[in-house]
Amino acid sequence: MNILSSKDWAKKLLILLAIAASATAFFWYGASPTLTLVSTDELSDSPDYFLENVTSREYTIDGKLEQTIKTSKLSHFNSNKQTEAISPKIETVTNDIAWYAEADFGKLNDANKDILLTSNAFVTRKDSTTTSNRLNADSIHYNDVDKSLISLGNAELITQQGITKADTIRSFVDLETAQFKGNVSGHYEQATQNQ
Amino acid sequence: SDTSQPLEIQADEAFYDQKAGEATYKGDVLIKQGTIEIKADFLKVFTDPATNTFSSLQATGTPARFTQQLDEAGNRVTSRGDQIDYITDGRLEINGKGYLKRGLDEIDADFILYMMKNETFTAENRGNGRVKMTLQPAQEKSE
Repeated sequence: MNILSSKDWAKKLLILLAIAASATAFFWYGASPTLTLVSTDELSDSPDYFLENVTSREYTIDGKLEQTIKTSKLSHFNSNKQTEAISPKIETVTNDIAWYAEADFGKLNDANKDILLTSNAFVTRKDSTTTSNRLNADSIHYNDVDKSLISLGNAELITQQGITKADTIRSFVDLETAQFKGNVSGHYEQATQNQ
Repeated sequence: SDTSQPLEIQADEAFYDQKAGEATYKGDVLIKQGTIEIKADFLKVFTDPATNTFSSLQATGTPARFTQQLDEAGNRVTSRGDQIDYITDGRLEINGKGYLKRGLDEIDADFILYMMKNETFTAENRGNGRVKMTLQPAQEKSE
């Protein structure tokens, strides 16, 4: 019987250790379940809920209908506390003035009642006391604090006299006063017809 | 006629108040209506609430300028003054260092009233100097 030399023992021991280590690694990583199917940051820009073909109504404390929002799809995002709407149609009563707003897209803010309308946005008056003026723009931001409407991009106010365009139009929900800034141009068709 | 044409207004800024029936335009203001052209620093537009049409335009500048073509031959009336009121029924009132030139006729006066339809004018001295008028004699008909 020949006795193995100490060198051979060392060699055999090393081989055994290598086998043991790879077996452990294989079972350790192979066996541990994949903890998440989707990585966390991909989740953060997904809505926490969404609704389709929505009609939402909001009432004042004394039960008066204040705002009706109709939208084909509404998605809420917890990450930035915002709600995104597709084709929003919004009817609002502010200081007894009924106004109507529509656009391809809208953003509503949880923290306040601001509304940002983008892409083919427009606002008109709803009540029939005056011939309704109309505001058109690429984007219209309704600021609920001062009840103002800031219109940017192809902004124009259409009144009975004609159309006034500007880079920026700041008006109020009654659409009876408006401030125009930058490249103001007015075209008034019926301006002096009756003279 | 010019007054039945659409009105075009350009400016840097504007403010519109429907209830008050007023709109103001500020900065490099240019008004065009037919052959009428007014240039000013500031413009106020008054609206007749009954008809919702513009009743008058008040242009102020350093100076405010007005021009209108009178005939096919290209003759023009030109005017300037501290303030030009264009009343859309066809009157032009020039206030403050007023000057008006029509063809070869010229007037300098504090106040000039120009009736656009029949092309007549009135000039007044309102305490600042005299009325100075240069009128060209009518062409004598050759026998």
